[in-house]
Amino acid sequence: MSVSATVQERELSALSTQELMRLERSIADQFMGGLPWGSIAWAFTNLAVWLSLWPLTLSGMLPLWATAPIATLNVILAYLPSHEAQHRIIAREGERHFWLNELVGHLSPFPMGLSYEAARLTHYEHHKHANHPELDPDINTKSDSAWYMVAKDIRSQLQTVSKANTSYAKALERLGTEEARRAGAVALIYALATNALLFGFAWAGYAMEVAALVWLPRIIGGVYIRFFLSWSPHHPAADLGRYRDTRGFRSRLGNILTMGMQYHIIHHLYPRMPLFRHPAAFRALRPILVARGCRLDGI
Amino acid sequence: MPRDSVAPPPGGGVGSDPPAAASPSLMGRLLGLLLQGMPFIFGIGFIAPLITQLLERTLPAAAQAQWPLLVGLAIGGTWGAIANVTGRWL
Repeated sequence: MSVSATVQERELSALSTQELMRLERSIADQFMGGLPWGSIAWAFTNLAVWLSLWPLTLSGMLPLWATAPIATLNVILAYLPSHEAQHRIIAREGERHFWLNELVGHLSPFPMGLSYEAARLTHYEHHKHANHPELDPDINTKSDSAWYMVAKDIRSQLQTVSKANTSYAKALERLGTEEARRAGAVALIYALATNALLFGFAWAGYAMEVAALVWLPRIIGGVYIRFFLSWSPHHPAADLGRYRDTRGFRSRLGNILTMGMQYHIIHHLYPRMPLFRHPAAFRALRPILVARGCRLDGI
Repeated sequence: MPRDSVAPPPGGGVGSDPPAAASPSLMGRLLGLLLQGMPFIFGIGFIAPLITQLLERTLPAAAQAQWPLLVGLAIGGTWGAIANVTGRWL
């Protein structure tokens, strides 16, 4: 630890809880606001690549061995722009660019077949109850080790109705609002439409093609997403509370290949801060996170 | 996360139907049946043609024969039916 950091932390220890919070918010404020063009471009580029795979693959121009990894990458990259929209980071209701927020929210997760509204409502529940054994819809990823998490996830995917899906349905049921019922119905339509798409193309003679475009990428990409976006930043998922339910961590894959999740603790503290600003915000807030007793594993 | 199979809709109803104890509509009952039988439908709807196509592409002699389709339906249907009963694909 550098001398300046030590001095900073000594200074912080003299502050009251309220003063520390004010300081934290004033630093975080510097990283808030603005249109996250990077995430918007990411959403549409990824969707365009995935959509272009369809004619290329169905016409035989692109071999299946190339389609499957590209489509898997598309699935992996599909969630986070929608996640920005879920938190209204692009724009809030009533703001000029809210339509763009909703467009990104709905279109970006298309390769995953994920319904935006269901994702948004259940994700808010995750934020409200992170790591709670009954109320956090993402608690299913909790595992003692990385390998155990992967094995557990594959086991869950082999069930005809996965634990994750059941947990999201329960979260919407618990909410019990008209909005939640509608989101559940739309999620169901998405799932049925996905199956109808698979069956239609499969019986039309393109079973291997849709397996490479949709089926396998969702299975493989799903494991990656749950590992890096859910298990890694919340491991060991034992504590509750603002400063303890999420951690910072250093991954051997680095920040890009973990899609910024090393700094996910910043997202849970400031959910409306754009993803691309998390690393800089983390560096600025780090002494406060240390003072707050946050878990920062190697970062 | 989305899967091949789907969880029951929240509230046990369809669309904006209230999750009340009242008897479900015909649409709701049909949807319930569809969901209950989804693993079997998936076996017939996706696994069967996938196996058929795999056999046809790996064994060129089988491309014009009927047996790859029968094998696909037998494996896909049986696998889906077992998954329907046990709740697991493997």
